[in-house]
Amino acid sequence: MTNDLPNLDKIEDYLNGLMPEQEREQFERELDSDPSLKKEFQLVQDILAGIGQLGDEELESQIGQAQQELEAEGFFEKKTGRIAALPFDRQRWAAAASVLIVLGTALFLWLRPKSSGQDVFAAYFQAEEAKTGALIDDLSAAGLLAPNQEQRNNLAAALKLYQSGNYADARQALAGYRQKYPQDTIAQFYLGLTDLHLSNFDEAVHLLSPIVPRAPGAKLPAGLEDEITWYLALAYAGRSAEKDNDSAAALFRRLAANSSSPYAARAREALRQLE
Amino acid sequence: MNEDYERWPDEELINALKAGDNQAFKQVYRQGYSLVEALIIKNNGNAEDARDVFQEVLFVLVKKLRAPGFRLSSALNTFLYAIARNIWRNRLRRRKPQVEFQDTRHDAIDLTESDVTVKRLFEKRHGIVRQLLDGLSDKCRQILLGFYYHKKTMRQIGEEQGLSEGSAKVQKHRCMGYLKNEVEAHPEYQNLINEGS
Repeated sequence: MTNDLPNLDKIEDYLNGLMPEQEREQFERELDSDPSLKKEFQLVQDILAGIGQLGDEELESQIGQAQQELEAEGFFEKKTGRIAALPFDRQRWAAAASVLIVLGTALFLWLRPKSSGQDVFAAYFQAEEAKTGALIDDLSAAGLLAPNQEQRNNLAAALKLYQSGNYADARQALAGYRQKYPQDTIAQFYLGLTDLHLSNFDEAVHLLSPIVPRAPGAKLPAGLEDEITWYLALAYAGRSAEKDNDSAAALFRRLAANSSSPYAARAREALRQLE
Repeated sequence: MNEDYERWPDEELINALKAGDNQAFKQVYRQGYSLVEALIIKNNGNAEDARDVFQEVLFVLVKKLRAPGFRLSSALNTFLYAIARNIWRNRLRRRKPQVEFQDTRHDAIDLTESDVTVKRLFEKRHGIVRQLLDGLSDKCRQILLGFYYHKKTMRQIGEEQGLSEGSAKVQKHRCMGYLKNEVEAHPEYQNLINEGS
Protein backbone atom coordinates (compact mmCIF):
# COMPACT_ATOMS: atom_id res chain seq x y z
CA MET A 1 0.00 0.00 0.00
CA THR A 2 1.47 3.37 -0.90
CA ASN A 3 1.00 6.50 1.06
CA ASP A 4 -0.86 9.03 -1.04
CA LEU A 5 -0.37 11.96 1.28
CA PRO A 6 2.67 13.61 -0.32
CA ASN A 7 2.43 16.77 1.79
CA LEU A 8 1.77 15.07 5.12
CA ASP A 9 4.96 16.27 6.86
CA LYS A 10 4.39 19.85 5.72
CA ILE A 11 0.76 19.84 6.81
CA GLU A 12 1.70 18.43 10.21
CA ASP A 13 4.31 21.17 10.68
CA TYR A 14 1.71 23.80 9.79
CA LEU A 15 -0.92 22.42 12.13
CA ASN A 16 1.58 22.02 14.98
CA GLY A 17 2.77 25.61 14.58
CA LEU A 18 6.28 24.43 13.66
CA MET A 19 6.46 26.35 10.39
CA PRO A 20 8.43 29.61 10.33
CA GLU A 21 6.27 32.66 9.61
CA GLN A 22 7.42 33.20 6.03
CA GLU A 23 6.93 29.55 5.15
CA ARG A 24 3.54 29.58 6.84
CA GLU A 25 2.37 32.52 4.73
CA GLN A 26 3.64 30.82 1.57
CA PHE A 27 1.85 27.62 2.58
CA GLU A 28 -1.41 29.51 3.14
CA ARG A 29 -1.12 31.05 -0.32
CA GLU A 30 -0.59 27.57 -1.80
CA LEU A 31 -3.61 26.32 0.08
CA ASP A 32 -5.70 29.03 -1.54
CA SER A 33 -4.43 28.36 -5.04
CA ASP A 34 -3.87 24.58 -5.17
CA PRO A 35 -7.11 22.54 -4.95
CA SER A 36 -5.30 19.18 -4.56
CA LEU A 37 -3.25 20.52 -1.63
CA LYS A 38 -6.42 21.95 -0.09
CA LYS A 39 -8.15 18.58 -0.43
CA GLU A 40 -5.21 16.76 1.14
CA PHE A 41 -5.07 19.34 3.94
CA GLN A 42 -8.75 18.87 4.71
CA LEU A 43 -8.38 15.09 4.73
CA VAL A 44 -5.37 15.18 7.08
CA GLN A 45 -7.24 17.56 9.39
CA ASP A 46 -10.21 15.18 9.46
CA ILE A 47 -7.98 12.18 10.15
CA LEU A 48 -6.12 13.96 12.96
CA ALA A 49 -9.41 15.14 14.48
CA GLY A 50 -10.71 11.55 14.37
CA ILE A 51 -7.52 10.30 16.04
CA GLY A 52 -7.90 13.07 18.64
CA GLN A 53 -11.46 11.89 19.38
CA LEU A 54 -10.29 8.32 19.82
CA GLY A 55 -7.42 9.43 22.08
CA ASP A 56 -9.73 11.57 24.23
CA GLU A 57 -12.19 8.69 24.55
CA GLU A 58 -9.40 6.37 25.68
CA LEU A 59 -8.08 8.91 28.17
CA GLU A 60 -11.55 9.51 29.62
CA SER A 61 -12.15 5.81 29.95
CA GLN A 62 -8.77 5.29 31.60
CA ILE A 63 -9.54 8.01 34.15
CA GLY A 64 -13.04 6.60 34.73
CA GLN A 65 -11.55 3.15 35.22
CA ALA A 66 -9.03 4.47 37.78
CA GLN A 67 -11.83 6.18 39.70
CA GLN A 68 -13.98 3.03 39.67
CA GLU A 69 -11.13 0.90 40.95
CA LEU A 70 -10.41 3.37 43.74
CA GLU A 71 -14.10 3.44 44.60
CA ALA A 72 -14.09 -0.36 44.88
CA GLU A 73 -11.07 -0.09 47.18
CA GLY A 74 -13.04 2.28 49.45
CA PHE A 75 -10.74 5.21 48.72
CA PHE A 76 -13.51 7.83 48.66
CA GLU A 77 -15.29 6.56 51.79
CA LYS A 78 -12.04 6.86 53.69
CA LYS A 79 -11.63 10.41 52.48
CA THR A 80 -15.07 11.77 53.19
CA GLY A 81 -15.71 9.71 56.33
CA ARG A 82 -12.51 10.52 58.14
CA ILE A 83 -13.34 13.73 60.01
CA ALA A 84 -16.96 12.85 60.81
CA ALA A 85 -15.93 9.60 62.47
CA LEU A 86 -13.35 11.15 64.78
CA PRO A 87 -14.16 11.21 68.51
CA PHE A 88 -14.02 14.53 70.35
CA ASP A 89 -10.39 14.37 71.56
CA ARG A 90 -9.18 13.39 68.17
CA GLN A 91 -11.17 16.26 66.68
CA ARG A 92 -9.15 18.64 68.83
CA TRP A 93 -6.00 17.02 67.56
CA ALA A 94 -7.37 17.32 64.06
CA ALA A 95 -8.01 21.04 64.62
CA ALA A 96 -4.44 21.49 65.86
CA ALA A 97 -3.18 19.56 62.88
CA SER A 98 -5.22 21.78 60.52
CA VAL A 99 -3.55 24.86 62.01
CA LEU A 100 -0.19 23.26 61.37
CA ILE A 101 -1.23 22.38 57.84
CA VAL A 102 -2.32 25.97 57.21
CA LEU A 103 0.97 27.28 58.58
CA GLY A 104 2.88 24.66 56.60
CA THR A 105 1.01 25.59 53.42
CA ALA A 106 1.75 29.29 53.97
CA LEU A 107 5.42 28.45 54.48
CA PHE A 108 5.38 26.24 51.38
CA LEU A 109 3.77 29.00 49.32
CA TRP A 110 6.34 31.46 50.57
CA LEU A 111 9.31 29.20 49.98
CA ARG A 112 8.18 27.37 46.86
CA PRO A 113 10.03 27.97 43.61
CA LYS A 114 8.50 30.58 41.32
CA SER A 115 6.16 29.25 38.66
CA SER A 116 7.39 29.54 35.13
CA GLY A 117 5.42 31.58 32.62
CA GLN A 118 4.32 28.31 31.02
CA ASP A 119 2.80 27.13 34.29
CA VAL A 120 0.90 30.39 34.56
CA PHE A 121 -0.29 30.02 30.98
CA ALA A 122 -1.37 26.42 31.54
CA ALA A 123 -3.16 27.24 34.76
CA TYR A 124 -5.06 30.25 33.48
CA PHE A 125 -5.67 29.49 29.85
CA GLN A 126 -8.12 26.70 29.41
CA ALA A 127 -10.29 25.84 26.52
CA GLU A 128 -13.47 27.07 28.16
CA GLU A 129 -11.79 30.20 29.44
CA ALA A 130 -11.69 31.85 26.06
CA LYS A 131 -15.08 30.69 24.88
CA THR A 132 -18.27 32.51 25.48
CA GLY A 133 -21.68 30.97 25.25
CA ALA A 134 -23.04 33.43 22.76
CA LEU A 135 -19.93 34.78 21.12
CA ILE A 136 -21.45 36.05 17.90
CA ASP A 137 -24.53 37.47 19.61
CA ASP A 138 -22.36 39.24 22.16
CA LEU A 139 -20.15 40.77 19.49
CA SER A 140 -23.12 41.74 17.44
CA ALA A 141 -24.96 43.28 20.39
CA ALA A 142 -21.84 45.26 21.23
CA GLY A 143 -21.76 46.58 17.66
CA LEU A 144 -18.36 44.98 17.06
CA LEU A 145 -19.10 43.17 13.84
CA ALA A 146 -18.55 44.68 10.41
CA PRO A 147 -21.51 46.46 8.78
CA ASN A 148 -21.22 44.48 5.54
CA GLN A 149 -23.54 41.46 5.69
CA GLU A 150 -21.36 39.13 3.62
CA GLN A 151 -18.31 40.05 5.66
CA ARG A 152 -20.20 39.45 8.89
CA ASN A 153 -21.41 36.08 7.72
CA ASN A 154 -17.88 35.04 6.74
CA LEU A 155 -16.55 36.04 10.14
CA ALA A 156 -19.46 34.39 11.92
CA ALA A 157 -18.72 31.08 10.15
CA ALA A 158 -15.04 31.27 11.18
CA LEU A 159 -15.94 32.16 14.77
CA LYS A 160 -18.35 29.23 14.90
CA LEU A 161 -15.42 26.92 14.20
CA TYR A 162 -13.48 28.64 16.97
CA GLN A 163 -16.38 28.32 19.33
CA SER A 164 -16.78 24.62 18.59
CA GLY A 165 -13.17 24.07 19.61
CA ASN A 166 -12.02 23.17 16.10
CA TYR A 167 -8.98 25.42 16.29
CA ALA A 168 -7.04 24.08 13.31
CA ASP A 169 -9.97 24.79 11.00
CA ALA A 170 -10.75 28.05 12.77
CA ARG A 171 -7.17 29.14 12.18
CA GLN A 172 -7.44 28.47 8.50
CA ALA A 173 -10.82 30.20 8.21
CA LEU A 174 -9.74 33.25 10.22
CA ALA A 175 -6.43 33.56 8.35
CA GLY A 176 -8.34 33.39 5.05
CA TYR A 177 -10.79 36.01 6.31
CA ARG A 178 -7.95 38.33 7.36
CA GLN A 179 -6.43 38.11 3.90
CA LYS A 180 -9.66 39.62 2.61
CA TYR A 181 -10.23 42.02 5.49
CA PRO A 182 -6.82 42.82 7.01
CA GLN A 183 -8.20 45.79 8.97
CA ASP A 184 -10.67 43.72 10.98
CA THR A 185 -9.24 43.73 14.50
CA ILE A 186 -11.94 41.40 15.83
CA ALA A 187 -10.70 38.70 13.46
CA GLN A 188 -7.14 39.57 14.45
CA PHE A 189 -8.04 39.13 18.12
CA TYR A 190 -9.72 35.77 17.58
CA LEU A 191 -6.91 34.54 15.33
CA GLY A 192 -4.55 35.41 18.19
CA LEU A 193 -6.73 33.42 20.59
CA THR A 194 -6.83 30.52 18.17
CA ASP A 195 -3.04 30.54 18.08
CA LEU A 196 -3.01 30.44 21.88
CA HIS A 197 -5.18 27.33 21.76
CA LEU A 198 -2.74 25.80 19.30
CA SER A 199 0.24 26.87 21.46
CA ASN A 200 1.54 29.07 18.61
CA PHE A 201 2.80 31.65 21.07
CA ASP A 202 4.96 33.62 18.63
CA GLU A 203 2.02 34.11 16.32
CA ALA A 204 -0.30 34.99 19.19
CA VAL A 205 2.09 37.68 20.45
CA HIS A 206 2.54 38.95 16.91
CA LEU A 207 -1.24 39.27 16.42
CA LEU A 208 -2.27 40.60 19.81
CA SER A 209 0.50 43.08 20.59
CA PRO A 210 -0.50 45.64 17.89
CA ILE A 211 -4.07 45.83 19.23
CA VAL A 212 -3.38 45.93 22.95
CA PRO A 213 -4.25 49.25 24.64
CA ARG A 214 -1.32 51.69 24.68
CA ALA A 215 0.35 50.02 21.68
CA PRO A 216 1.64 52.69 19.28
CA GLY A 217 -1.11 53.48 16.79
CA ALA A 218 -3.27 50.67 18.12
CA LYS A 219 -6.70 50.38 16.55
CA LEU A 220 -8.65 48.63 19.23
CA PRO A 221 -11.85 46.74 18.99
CA ALA A 222 -13.72 48.79 21.59
CA GLY A 223 -14.96 46.82 24.58
CA LEU A 224 -12.32 44.13 24.28
CA GLU A 225 -9.39 46.05 25.77
CA ASP A 226 -9.17 44.00 28.95
CA GLU A 227 -9.58 40.72 27.08
CA ILE A 228 -6.77 41.57 24.69
CA THR A 229 -4.50 42.63 27.55
CA TRP A 230 -5.25 39.41 29.45
CA TYR A 231 -4.65 37.09 26.52
CA LEU A 232 -1.53 38.91 25.36
CA ALA A 233 -0.16 38.51 28.89
CA LEU A 234 -0.90 34.78 28.68
CA ALA A 235 0.73 34.60 25.25
CA TYR A 236 3.93 36.10 26.69
CA ALA A 237 3.72 33.75 29.66
CA GLY A 238 3.23 30.75 27.38
CA ARG A 239 6.12 31.71 25.11
CA SER A 240 8.44 32.28 28.07
CA ALA A 241 11.31 33.56 25.97
CA GLU A 242 13.78 36.03 27.45
CA LYS A 243 11.97 39.02 29.02
CA ASP A 244 8.57 37.52 28.16
CA ASN A 245 7.77 37.01 31.82
CA ASP A 246 8.49 40.72 32.41
CA SER A 247 6.13 41.65 29.60
CA ALA A 248 3.47 39.30 30.94
CA ALA A 249 3.91 40.68 34.47
CA ALA A 250 3.58 44.28 33.24
CA LEU A 251 0.27 43.46 31.55
CA PHE A 252 -1.05 41.51 34.54
CA ARG A 253 -0.10 44.48 36.72
CA ARG A 254 -2.05 46.82 34.45
CA LEU A 255 -5.18 44.67 34.80
CA ALA A 256 -4.68 44.14 38.53
CA ALA A 257 -4.52 47.90 39.07
CA ASN A 258 -7.95 48.40 37.54
CA SER A 259 -10.32 47.14 40.20
CA SER A 260 -13.33 47.43 37.88
CA SER A 261 -11.79 45.00 35.40
CA PRO A 262 -13.26 41.49 35.42
CA TYR A 263 -9.70 40.24 35.06
CA ALA A 264 -8.30 42.13 38.07
CA ALA A 265 -8.49 39.27 40.59
CA ARG A 266 -7.13 36.67 38.18
CA ALA A 267 -4.35 39.02 37.10
CA ARG A 268 -3.33 39.53 40.74
CA GLU A 269 -3.16 35.76 41.27
CA ALA A 270 -1.22 35.19 38.06
CA LEU A 271 1.15 37.98 38.99
CA ARG A 272 1.79 36.44 42.40
CA GLN A 273 2.67 33.14 40.74
CA LEU A 274 4.89 34.78 38.18
CA GLU A 275 6.74 36.95 40.66
CA MET B 1 -0.28 13.30 57.55
CA ASN B 2 -1.57 9.75 57.63
CA GLU B 3 -0.66 8.34 54.22
CA ASP B 4 -1.11 4.63 53.64
CA TYR B 5 0.57 4.65 50.27
CA GLU B 6 4.01 5.31 48.93
CA ARG B 7 4.42 8.68 47.22
CA TRP B 8 5.90 8.70 43.75
CA PRO B 9 8.39 11.43 42.90
CA ASP B 10 6.82 14.00 40.54
CA GLU B 11 9.09 13.17 37.63
CA GLU B 12 8.29 9.47 37.82
CA LEU B 13 4.58 10.17 38.07
CA ILE B 14 4.63 12.60 35.15
CA ASN B 15 6.47 10.13 32.91
CA ALA B 16 4.05 7.36 33.84
CA LEU B 17 1.04 9.61 33.13
CA LYS B 18 2.46 10.58 29.76
CA ALA B 19 2.96 6.91 28.96
CA GLY B 20 -0.66 6.16 29.94
CA ASP B 21 0.20 3.86 32.86
CA ASN B 22 -3.05 2.89 34.64
CA GLN B 23 -1.41 2.83 38.06
CA ALA B 24 -0.25 6.41 37.55
CA PHE B 25 -3.83 7.65 37.22
CA LYS B 26 -4.72 6.07 40.56
CA GLN B 27 -1.56 7.47 42.08
CA VAL B 28 -2.58 11.02 41.15
CA TYR B 29 -5.81 10.45 43.07
CA ARG B 30 -3.86 9.23 46.08
CA GLN B 31 -1.45 12.15 46.03
CA GLY B 32 -3.71 15.01 44.97
CA TYR B 33 -7.38 14.22 45.53
CA SER B 34 -7.57 15.48 49.16
CA LEU B 35 -6.21 18.83 48.08
CA VAL B 36 -8.82 19.27 45.36
CA GLU B 37 -11.66 17.89 47.47
CA ALA B 38 -10.86 20.38 50.24
CA LEU B 39 -10.86 23.24 47.72
CA ILE B 40 -14.25 22.26 46.29
CA ILE B 41 -15.92 21.64 49.64
CA LYS B 42 -14.58 24.90 51.03
CA ASN B 43 -16.07 26.70 48.04
CA ASN B 44 -19.71 25.60 48.02
CA GLY B 45 -19.20 22.19 46.47
CA ASN B 46 -19.76 18.66 47.73
CA ALA B 47 -18.00 15.29 47.53
CA GLU B 48 -19.76 14.44 44.27
CA ASP B 49 -18.60 17.71 42.70
CA ALA B 50 -15.07 16.92 43.86
CA ARG B 51 -15.06 13.54 42.11
CA ASP B 52 -16.51 15.01 38.96
CA VAL B 53 -14.09 17.93 38.91
CA PHE B 54 -11.12 15.70 39.64
CA GLN B 55 -11.83 13.64 36.52
CA GLU B 56 -11.74 16.81 34.46
CA VAL B 57 -8.60 18.01 36.25
CA LEU B 58 -6.85 14.76 35.47
CA PHE B 59 -7.95 14.94 31.84
CA VAL B 60 -6.63 18.50 31.47
CA LEU B 61 -3.44 17.64 33.36
CA VAL B 62 -2.56 14.69 31.14
CA LYS B 63 -3.34 16.64 27.96
CA LYS B 64 -1.13 19.50 29.16
CA LEU B 65 1.70 17.15 30.10
CA ARG B 66 1.56 15.53 26.69
CA ALA B 67 1.47 18.82 24.76
CA PRO B 68 4.64 19.32 22.73
CA GLY B 69 7.09 21.73 24.33
CA PHE B 70 5.29 21.81 27.67
CA ARG B 71 7.51 21.74 30.72
CA LEU B 72 6.42 21.91 34.31
CA SER B 73 8.60 23.78 36.74
CA SER B 74 6.37 23.82 39.82
CA ALA B 75 5.41 20.83 41.94
CA LEU B 76 2.82 18.60 40.30
CA ASN B 77 0.28 19.15 43.09
CA THR B 78 0.67 22.93 42.84
CA PHE B 79 -0.16 22.67 39.16
CA LEU B 80 -3.01 20.23 39.79
CA TYR B 81 -4.48 22.62 42.34
CA ALA B 82 -4.26 25.56 39.93
CA ILE B 83 -6.14 23.60 37.25
CA ALA B 84 -8.78 22.54 39.77
CA ARG B 85 -9.25 26.10 40.98
CA ASN B 86 -9.76 27.31 37.45
CA ILE B 87 -12.23 24.58 36.54
CA TRP B 88 -14.22 25.01 39.74
CA ARG B 89 -14.30 28.79 39.42
CA ASN B 90 -15.63 28.47 35.88
CA ARG B 91 -18.29 26.01 36.98
CA LEU B 92 -19.39 28.28 39.80
CA ARG B 93 -19.61 31.15 37.37
CA ARG B 94 -21.85 29.09 35.10
CA ARG B 95 -24.10 28.21 38.02
CA LYS B 96 -25.02 31.85 38.57
CA PRO B 97 -28.57 32.64 37.47
CA GLN B 98 -28.54 33.86 33.90
CA VAL B 99 -29.83 37.34 33.18
CA GLU B 100 -32.36 37.47 30.40
CA PHE B 101 -30.76 38.80 27.24
CA GLN B 102 -32.36 41.99 25.98
CA ASP B 103 -31.72 42.54 22.31
CA THR B 104 -32.29 46.18 21.43
CA ARG B 105 -30.36 46.25 18.19
CA HIS B 106 -32.40 45.53 15.12
CA ASP B 107 -29.36 45.03 12.93
CA ALA B 108 -27.92 42.23 15.07
CA ILE B 109 -27.16 39.33 12.78
CA ASP B 110 -29.11 36.16 12.98
CA LEU B 111 -26.80 33.26 12.52
CA THR B 112 -27.63 31.70 9.23
CA GLU B 113 -28.02 27.99 8.84
CA SER B 114 -24.70 27.91 7.03
CA ASP B 115 -22.76 28.50 10.28
CA VAL B 116 -24.48 25.63 11.96
CA THR B 117 -24.08 23.48 8.86
CA VAL B 118 -20.31 24.01 8.71
CA LYS B 119 -19.95 22.81 12.28
CA ARG B 120 -22.22 19.83 11.70
CA LEU B 121 -20.29 18.81 8.58
CA PHE B 122 -16.98 18.89 10.44
CA GLU B 123 -18.34 16.84 13.30
CA LYS B 124 -19.84 14.24 10.98
CA ARG B 125 -16.62 13.88 8.99
CA HIS B 126 -14.56 13.49 12.15
CA GLY B 127 -17.07 10.95 13.45
CA ILE B 128 -16.62 8.88 10.28
CA VAL B 129 -12.83 8.87 10.71
CA ARG B 130 -13.29 7.92 14.33
CA GLN B 131 -15.43 4.91 13.30
CA LEU B 132 -12.98 3.84 10.61
CA LEU B 133 -10.16 3.82 13.16
CA ASP B 134 -11.92 0.90 14.85
CA GLY B 135 -11.42 -1.07 11.65
CA LEU B 136 -7.64 -0.65 11.65
CA SER B 137 -5.33 -3.29 13.05
CA ASP B 138 -4.48 -2.80 16.69
CA LYS B 139 -0.88 -2.12 15.73
CA CYS B 140 -1.85 0.64 13.28
CA ARG B 141 -4.18 2.24 15.81
CA GLN B 142 -1.51 2.23 18.50
CA ILE B 143 1.08 3.71 16.13
CA LEU B 144 -1.22 6.51 14.99
CA LEU B 145 -2.44 7.24 18.52
CA GLY B 146 1.13 7.11 19.82
CA PHE B 147 2.43 9.56 17.26
CA TYR B 148 -0.44 11.97 16.79
CA TYR B 149 -2.17 11.89 20.16
CA HIS B 150 0.44 10.88 22.72
CA LYS B 151 3.12 12.79 20.77
CA LYS B 152 5.62 9.99 21.17
CA THR B 153 8.73 9.86 19.01
CA MET B 154 9.03 7.22 16.30
CA ARG B 155 11.84 5.69 18.31
CA GLN B 156 9.59 5.24 21.37
CA ILE B 157 6.82 3.81 19.21
CA GLY B 158 9.28 1.43 17.54
CA GLU B 159 10.47 0.18 20.94
CA GLU B 160 6.89 -0.44 22.08
CA GLN B 161 5.97 -2.27 18.90
CA GLY B 162 9.23 -4.25 18.60
CA LEU B 163 10.24 -2.37 15.47
CA SER B 164 13.24 -0.30 14.46
CA GLU B 165 12.64 3.45 14.28
CA GLY B 166 12.77 3.29 10.47
CA SER B 167 10.29 0.41 10.26
CA ALA B 168 7.94 2.19 12.65
CA LYS B 169 8.01 5.24 10.40
CA VAL B 170 7.27 3.18 7.31
CA GLN B 171 4.46 1.43 9.19
CA LYS B 172 2.99 4.78 10.26
CA HIS B 173 2.94 6.03 6.67
CA ARG B 174 1.28 2.79 5.56
CA CYS B 175 -1.36 3.12 8.25
CA MET B 176 -2.06 6.72 7.26
CA GLY B 177 -2.24 5.69 3.61
CA TYR B 178 -4.64 2.87 4.41
CA LEU B 179 -6.82 5.12 6.55
CA LYS B 180 -6.81 7.80 3.88
CA ASN B 181 -8.08 5.31 1.29
CA GLU B 182 -10.77 4.06 3.66
CA VAL B 183 -11.93 7.59 4.42
CA GLU B 184 -12.02 8.60 0.77
CA ALA B 185 -13.92 5.44 -0.16
CA HIS B 186 -16.57 6.10 2.48
CA PRO B 187 -19.70 7.21 0.57
CA GLU B 188 -21.06 9.40 3.34
CA TYR B 189 -17.71 11.16 3.73
CA GLN B 190 -17.72 12.01 0.04
CA ASN B 191 -21.27 13.33 0.31
CA LEU B 192 -20.27 15.52 3.23
CA ILE B 193 -17.28 16.88 1.32
CA ASN B 194 -19.47 17.69 -1.66
CA GLU B 195 -22.08 19.26 0.60
CA GLY B 196 -19.46 21.51 2.15
CA SER B 197 -17.82 22.66 -1.07
